[in-house]
Amino acid sequence: MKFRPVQFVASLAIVLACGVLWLSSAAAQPAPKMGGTLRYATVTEVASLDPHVYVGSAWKVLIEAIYSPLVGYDTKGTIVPRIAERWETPDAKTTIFHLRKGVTFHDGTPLTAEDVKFSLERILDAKTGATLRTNLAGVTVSVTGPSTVKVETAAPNAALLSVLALPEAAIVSKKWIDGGPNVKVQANGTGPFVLKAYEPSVRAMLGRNPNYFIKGQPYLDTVEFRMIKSDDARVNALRTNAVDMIDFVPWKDIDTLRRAPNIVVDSSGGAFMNLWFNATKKPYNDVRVRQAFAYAIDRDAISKAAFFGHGTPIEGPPTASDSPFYNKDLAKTYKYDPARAKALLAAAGYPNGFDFEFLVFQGLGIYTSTAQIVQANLKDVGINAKIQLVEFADLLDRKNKANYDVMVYGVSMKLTDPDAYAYYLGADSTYWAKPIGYRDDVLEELLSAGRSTVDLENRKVIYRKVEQRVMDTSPWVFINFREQAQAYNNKVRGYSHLGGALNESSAGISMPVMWMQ
Amino acid sequence: MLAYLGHRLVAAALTLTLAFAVVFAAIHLLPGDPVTMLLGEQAGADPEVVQKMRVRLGLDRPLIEQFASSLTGIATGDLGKSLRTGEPVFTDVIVRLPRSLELIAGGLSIAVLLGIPLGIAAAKGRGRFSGTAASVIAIAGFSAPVFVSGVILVIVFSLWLNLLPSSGFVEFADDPLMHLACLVLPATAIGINFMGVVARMTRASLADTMTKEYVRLARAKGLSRQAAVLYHALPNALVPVITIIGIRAGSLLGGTVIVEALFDWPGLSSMLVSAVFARDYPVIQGSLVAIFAVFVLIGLAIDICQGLVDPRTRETAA
Repeated sequence: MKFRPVQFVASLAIVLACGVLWLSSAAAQPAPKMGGTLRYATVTEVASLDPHVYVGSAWKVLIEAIYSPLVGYDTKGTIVPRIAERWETPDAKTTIFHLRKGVTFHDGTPLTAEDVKFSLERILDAKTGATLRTNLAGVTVSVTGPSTVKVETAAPNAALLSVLALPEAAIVSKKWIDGGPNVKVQANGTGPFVLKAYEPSVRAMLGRNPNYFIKGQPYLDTVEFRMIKSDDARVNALRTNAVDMIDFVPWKDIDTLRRAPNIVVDSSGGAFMNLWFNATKKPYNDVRVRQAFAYAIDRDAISKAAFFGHGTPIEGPPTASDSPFYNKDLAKTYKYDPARAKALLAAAGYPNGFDFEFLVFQGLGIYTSTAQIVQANLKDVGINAKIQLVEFADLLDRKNKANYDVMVYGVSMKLTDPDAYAYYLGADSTYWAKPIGYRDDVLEELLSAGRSTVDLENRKVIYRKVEQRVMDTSPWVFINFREQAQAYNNKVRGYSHLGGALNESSAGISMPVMWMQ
Repeated sequence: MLAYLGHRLVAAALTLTLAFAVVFAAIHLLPGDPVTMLLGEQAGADPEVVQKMRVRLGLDRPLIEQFASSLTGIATGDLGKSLRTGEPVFTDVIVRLPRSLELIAGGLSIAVLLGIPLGIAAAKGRGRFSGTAASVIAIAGFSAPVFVSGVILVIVFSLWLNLLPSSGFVEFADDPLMHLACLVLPATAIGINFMGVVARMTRASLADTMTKEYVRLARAKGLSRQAAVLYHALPNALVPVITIIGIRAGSLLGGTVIVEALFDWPGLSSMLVSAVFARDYPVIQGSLVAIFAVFVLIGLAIDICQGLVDPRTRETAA
């Protein structure tokens, strides 16, 4: 070949440029540092470490760090192997999990298929009070080999994997539990961190698990949890560098903390605020009344006043816009329209409105502010809301006894799968519907179909019908997404803030790959 | 003295029993169910699960039976098990109570160390600038509620000057210096608030004793003004001040709630509040019994102190 100087120099330049770019990007991406301590302050005072009974968002992070379920989520929100290294579904009702070899609990006991069977059955046992008992109802577990477990559901269940990926589905050691430890204050899991010290409601100390089944993880040596309930104390602790990271940044502080030079604030919608009706009681059993409420609310005002702008209004179903199940055409169903609200009330037989008792949780400013705006909005259409402030224990009590008219309730998203609708509105769900005896047969059929259909495109069609039905019947009024923010100093690396149902777990999911720069 | 103490102890035991009965009735009258709170939003509404948990925790027994077993438990030192953690309440109380007492002791020390000199200055400088200035400082102390003075202390010493931690707690055994650093701000918040009371009380009492005849007699015998005030007026003036400190100190134990929340200090008060919200009956009962016991002991200690400072109390009581 003839030597062509120009082409030669050009190609050399390109190669050199690529080399420089590659080197600089590698330099810009610091490699994770092993070791270090993360000090994390949380709002929830975790009083129990029982891995099957949900106690709060910080609980989820702790359990995720100490225990492992069969499968889990990665920092992008995809379901990945944990204790199970692979699985197959020979038919729609069966999943066979193949467990990793060589997994040990923190006390040294090797994990076997028996432990998986034991754990899932512990969840199903009414005595445990497990959070996922209704989600896993009808599931049978059998051991088909030293490292294989067969999970069968009564009917095809597309949401099964997303339920088994929750930290509440942790696998525990049968031998350990049979020994009768106080599971609420002791822990023995297979997770990346070992429980070193724990004072209920005060603090917890986690240390690296040197035998974690994912080699090279975790990066951190220690994680110190401090449970600081007071919002101001928690924010000040971050400001004065007494802690490295905090959860539940108060909405009023999101913007001010962002402005601080060495603090990062990650925020995304993780929960949503609603009005819950006692929908089997007059006048809330009339769809028109419920829809009137939905049209009467000024969601923008609530977002600004109660959430300092950090609360995107929900005028359609509460599905995130980046979800495959998002339906754009339903998103503006209930735009603010007081005139329409009045018309609906008149059609339902209440041209002059009516009075009712409005049950509001007193402990958080977002609830009381939201309630006051709702009260003002309803007054404009002739409805008089008498606000009744209550403690959380009281609120739960009245919800479970169906002793209320309308309440404000914040719902944290439970599942990444749209089967979450069954939990929120399904007739057999003890969450809202069962205590008041609400049953919508059309919705029930659709939910059942959605759960048992496995093909994604078919499911999208079914859940669109679900969302349309929810819009038509308006059993709840969806108000707005509640942004949940975490703040940390700029030494903390590797944290991925996820939105939606995984928001609460974000710290837990990221923890094995977080490090201190 | 011994018979006196004996009488006081019996009276204390009876008061405690009565107080416990009131507490038991009150917490069971509160709406809200500990089992529902324990199990959370989902499991908590499933009647089958709730009933099983209720039996497991002994909450399905008739109330009289629960009351009787709690009372006999307390007599033997068994305060029951926390509904939330399953751990003995006695252990929790033993761990948390000293922390609250530490806050109170720190606060009282600051209040006495600052308040008595302020009171003396106010009494001696009555009608002059020094006296008025001392009085104003004292009033400023108790005018601001403890959550205001607490927040100001955090802003000044922690956020601006970065001298002290804004909140938190470390065991003394783990890091003595850090432990004391964490103690300073909350104790000062309590102390400043109480200092005003001590100062005002000292001022009023001293102003009264300074005009007494025995003080003038001491001066006539050749003692300097300073010595007369210090050795003759002050000890007598302190008698009512000690009484006030005693009465108020007991109530401080319940009042540390705000300070413990603000400074994330895991003492008995914050445990009590958290237990009330969760309806954790054994912890509520256990904490309150501990608080009553401390109250009673403080009362006894005050009586003994008075006996020491004022010989007349000893004679009349015996």
